[in-house]
Amino acid sequence: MLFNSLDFALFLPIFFILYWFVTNKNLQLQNILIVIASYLFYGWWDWRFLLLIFFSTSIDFFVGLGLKKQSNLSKRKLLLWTSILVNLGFLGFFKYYNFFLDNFVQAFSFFGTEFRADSLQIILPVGISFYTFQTLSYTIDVYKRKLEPTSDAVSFFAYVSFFPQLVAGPIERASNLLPQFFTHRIFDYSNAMKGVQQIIWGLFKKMVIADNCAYVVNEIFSNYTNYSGSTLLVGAVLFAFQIYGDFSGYSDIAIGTARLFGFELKRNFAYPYFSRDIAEFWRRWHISLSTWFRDYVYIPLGGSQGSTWSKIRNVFLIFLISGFWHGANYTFLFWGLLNAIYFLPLLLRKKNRVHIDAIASNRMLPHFNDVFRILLTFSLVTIGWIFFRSESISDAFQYLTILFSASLFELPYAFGLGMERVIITFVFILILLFVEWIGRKKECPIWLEQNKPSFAQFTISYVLIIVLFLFSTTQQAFIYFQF
Amino acid sequence: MQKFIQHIGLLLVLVFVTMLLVFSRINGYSDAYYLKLTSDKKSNLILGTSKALQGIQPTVLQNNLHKSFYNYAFAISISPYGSIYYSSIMEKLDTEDTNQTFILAVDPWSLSSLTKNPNDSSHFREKKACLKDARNPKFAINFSYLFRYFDESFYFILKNKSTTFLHDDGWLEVTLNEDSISVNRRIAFSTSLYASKIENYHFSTLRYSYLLKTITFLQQYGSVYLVRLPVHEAMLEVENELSPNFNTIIQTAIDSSTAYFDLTSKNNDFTYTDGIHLTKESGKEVSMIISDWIWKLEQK
Repeated sequence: MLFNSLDFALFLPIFFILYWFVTNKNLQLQNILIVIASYLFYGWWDWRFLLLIFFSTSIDFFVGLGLKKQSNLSKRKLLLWTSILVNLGFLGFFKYYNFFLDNFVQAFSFFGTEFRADSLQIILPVGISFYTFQTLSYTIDVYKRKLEPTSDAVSFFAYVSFFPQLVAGPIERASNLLPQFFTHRIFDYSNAMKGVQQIIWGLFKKMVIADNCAYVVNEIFSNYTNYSGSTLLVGAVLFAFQIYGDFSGYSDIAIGTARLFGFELKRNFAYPYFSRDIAEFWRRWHISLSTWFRDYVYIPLGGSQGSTWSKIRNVFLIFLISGFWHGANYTFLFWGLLNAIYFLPLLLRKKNRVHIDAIASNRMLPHFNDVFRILLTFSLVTIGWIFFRSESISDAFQYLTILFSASLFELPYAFGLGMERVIITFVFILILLFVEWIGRKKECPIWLEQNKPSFAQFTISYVLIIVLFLFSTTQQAFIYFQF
Repeated sequence: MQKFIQHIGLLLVLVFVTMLLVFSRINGYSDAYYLKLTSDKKSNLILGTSKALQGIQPTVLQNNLHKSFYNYAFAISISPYGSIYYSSIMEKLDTEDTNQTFILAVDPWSLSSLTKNPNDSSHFREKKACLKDARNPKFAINFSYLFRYFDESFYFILKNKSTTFLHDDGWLEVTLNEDSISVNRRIAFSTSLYASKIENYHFSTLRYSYLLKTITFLQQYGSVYLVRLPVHEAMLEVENELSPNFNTIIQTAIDSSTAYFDLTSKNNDFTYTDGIHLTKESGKEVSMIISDWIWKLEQK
């Protein structure tokens, strides 16, 4: 079920009524309702994959219980590895089987041996990369005794399948989300209103920014050889905003929806396009994934400690894994590699934590130097996105070759795209950046300072919904569902 | 909680009222097809894809043939010949009159598919388009179409200005910059775009069978004329590459119809907005030529 669909618009109020008016007096019943609703939400795409999530959740639940009882280190390790292998096994099969098979066959052909292997028609279960990482974090934390395992199966199932963040995050840690299922939730007007506003803001980013960008981006990237460098530049910049609007919009809707039901999810984006260097960008972009990799891969590998070579190895590993997590394609690997190359000089010069303060914290406008750094960082990120968006690495290089040709200085040619739509999209991007800049100290930029709802809050919500209604375009699926 | 529900309820009511106000302003500028799917049943249909939609003007035909025509053509992604268009035509046609005149525009594109197997109708792209299930509604506003198929953002309704205007008779008037630089640029762009996609198109015998079915169905209510509309010479080369012996391929359809008129021999007599579609002036001339042709045939 898509957040930006009529199905969800009907699902949400029905769930709201059942949650707050029917099951509100019984915590266990309320959690059961969450599990049922979440499975319904997930099964809306393909009910067959419910078995997968059920099995994966059951394994981790029982591994958690086993770890609680078991003090023998080798047996604890066995339990941990059972969870890791099952979860990564599912992920590997559904997401990477055909990729590895194709490469295997190609490698054999390269050495002169013809190898026949039929690839399978595998459908990637929506959100598998997200819930796999979420459940893995539970077993790893329990194994490391950082977290007390739960014996409440309903709460655990609700934690893994919690519908607002099930298919595209934020990837929640059990230490943050699981305890919230153990405590009675109380409806809070101001929190719920904040949730509604965050949902509306997320929908604005998705339906007005991302979907309008997608319309132009899809055309340009599909037929990039027909366009000038300047048009390709427009395509690349719009893709940068498409992916931001799409993914951060999803996160906002997820967090806002959870807020409606008394849950606090982790922040996933913190205005990444205001970053002054790549390190800051990665602290602000897809925070739940970055911190997951940091805590469960980077730090165990040694992180930024140790010799220069181990630092370099760790940086490349973390970015390559992150790239590969996004999809079984060399374009994602190259995107990861490129970000590692961007990041490495900062780490080696120990400048990766220079920009940890809020930008222009005591000023209305940034310094000229900061503007320059923001633009430079955005440019580097956008070049990376070209690899992320292209069908193949050679397509991406060809795209860049045309982009940086003499035709970069021609007027962008948008016949077939509708110049007006391109202009409107850019106007909304400017509005987005303006609102985010003004509200950059808040999690959601349209929240007003005062706690109580005011006429201004109501008006902002109304205006945004009307903007959504008037300027949203054909419904598009969320990009990150494919990961 | 009560306060929350009151606020959300008020917000939703205000939004719904605003939506109704916006929808009440829909006209021919708003969308290229919406009014076709909110109008009554029609007779004397003009059928085909965007070439016919933009190129055949019902008022010109009406002046010559003294019949009220209705252009029920859509874009290539919506109305190539096939089961969906066929069902839609059956639903749209006013079957009370049995002395009607039908004009069916044919070309290689409207009988081809983008699917690997050209007869794999389960993957025909019109299955995702508006004729699939957007029927004439019982209400004044076709909500199903608006929320599923309205091609532009709804703000276009308020703008009341567009390069396209859908007339009440179904003709889509397109007004584009007609200076030679813009026209040549569009022609070059469209030709190279279509040429690059040609290998993905394959003639579909299934689509062709539906053209035959459509002709047979319409013949119960009058005369069926097939026309191949003119295109720019560069585009004709692309079409010939796609379907080199088009007239031979559709011979059965030609034989089944009342008459067939291939206007591509007169390509150079007309002007085009982008190589595929006739300009308004040329569309008028072509409509005149077609109506004269039909008039002469009907006098025999």
